[in-house]
Amino acid sequence: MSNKGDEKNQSAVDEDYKLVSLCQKGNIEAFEALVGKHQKKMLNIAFRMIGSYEEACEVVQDAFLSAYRAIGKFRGEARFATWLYTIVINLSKNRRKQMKVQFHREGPSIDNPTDTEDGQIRRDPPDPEPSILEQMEKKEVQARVQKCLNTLEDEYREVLVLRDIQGFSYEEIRDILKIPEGTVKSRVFRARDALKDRLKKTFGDL
Amino acid sequence: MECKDIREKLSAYLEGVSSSAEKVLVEKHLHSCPQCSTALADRKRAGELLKDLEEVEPPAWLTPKIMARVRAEEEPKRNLLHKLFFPLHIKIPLEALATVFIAVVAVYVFRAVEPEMKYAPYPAPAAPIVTREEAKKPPREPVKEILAPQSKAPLKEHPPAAPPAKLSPSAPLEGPPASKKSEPLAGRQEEERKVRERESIPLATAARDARGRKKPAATPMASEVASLKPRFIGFTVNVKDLKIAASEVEKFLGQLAARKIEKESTEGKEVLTADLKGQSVEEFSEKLKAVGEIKEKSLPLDISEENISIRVEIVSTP
Repeated sequence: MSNKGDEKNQSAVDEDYKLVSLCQKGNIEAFEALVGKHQKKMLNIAFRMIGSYEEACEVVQDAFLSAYRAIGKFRGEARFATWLYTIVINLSKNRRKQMKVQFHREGPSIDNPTDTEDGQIRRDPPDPEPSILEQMEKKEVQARVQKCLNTLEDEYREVLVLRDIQGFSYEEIRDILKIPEGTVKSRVFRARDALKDRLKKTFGDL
Repeated sequence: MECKDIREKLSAYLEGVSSSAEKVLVEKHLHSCPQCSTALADRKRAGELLKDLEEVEPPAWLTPKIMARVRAEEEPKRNLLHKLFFPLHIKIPLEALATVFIAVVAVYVFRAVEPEMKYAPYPAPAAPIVTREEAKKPPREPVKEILAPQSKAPLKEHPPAAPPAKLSPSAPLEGPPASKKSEPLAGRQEEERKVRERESIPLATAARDARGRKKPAATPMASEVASLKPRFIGFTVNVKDLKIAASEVEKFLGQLAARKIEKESTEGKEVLTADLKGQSVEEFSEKLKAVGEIKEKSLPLDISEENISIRVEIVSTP
């Protein structure tokens, strides 16, 4: 199974290289093919990083545009996809910073849980009902999980998005975030711990 | 081992990446510690909740929008390239076409205005010549003679025709036949003059030819050309003895190398005609004074360079 998966992965990588080299020769259609191939993953990373679908769409556009501008500099040391994910993660973090600045100017919104001065989420008191999670709609659960994710620090959120949501290997995460693999691992463990605490506070018992 | 230490290892344990020794340690602790078991369950659940997060689908407009922005990015570069290479595929044929068009128009315009361009410089100086020549020749040949050749080569033939009209039968080659006693009608002359004045502009073309012929008059061919159009001077001499005077005049003409000397005798009047060189006219006039009392009928403005037709009427005074 894993061998088949590797082969498939490898052929996708080779295809990417072909398309990238076409792009570097000025073939816009080849870039369109790359966009079609990677936009879904890019959007999901951005969406989980930012928590807003619309903003994520904007970030993905910006990311692809940045990739197009810089594609001449892409030398193939890393996989093209990894290179793209690095771009979208960085742009997502930047967008979050912009949104925070905007939020501080415009004031808190009722819909979005927000960081308080001590960095904690301002939240409703824990629900007395222990099994409330089971009673909630699936979408509602997902929205709440996303909100918890939003309250995490960037360095925790990004490893959780990449590791637990997108399922990248520690090696891949190391390449995307450009940090040592050991740091990735310890960060993932601490991030889960932090998220678990947030989830417990949101849902009561898990 | 403390619960705190165990909980730090729970993630690794859940992922199955902890060492076997750690694994044994954690499992041993979990059996005896319900809080840590709950913590493990919570982490498991948290991981599941994350994995359960559904993927979102990109909107249909995402790719087109990205590509529109990419192409918009590319546009200025292409515009620059277009400016640089535009001549190669459109500009050069366009310029070639324009050049051909201009050439064709130029040729067409040149052909359309060609006749005017040829003769345009001439009319102004030529017109006065026509009128001047006319002014110099009060006695005119009959209207018929003038009008007929006019259409062909007016000025070439008229000047020589004018003076000998009455008296010189041996007029230059192309001259109209001398009509002996036909006195030009003053009325008709006047009318004819008007006609010619009106026609002075169309005549300009012919005047050019006349000019063309006049110019070489200063060359060795001058006498020959000049003989074609002698001027006319009439003298009337009052003498006592007709015969003697006539022979004297004839002698003077001979001395002055006059040509075509002719003598006509009528009652109480001797008429001599001859062609004389311009420069000799004055001398001849002086000599005539010795013969008798003379009246000059007309004098050309410039007599020095042309052959002059002389007509001397010798009239006896009682």
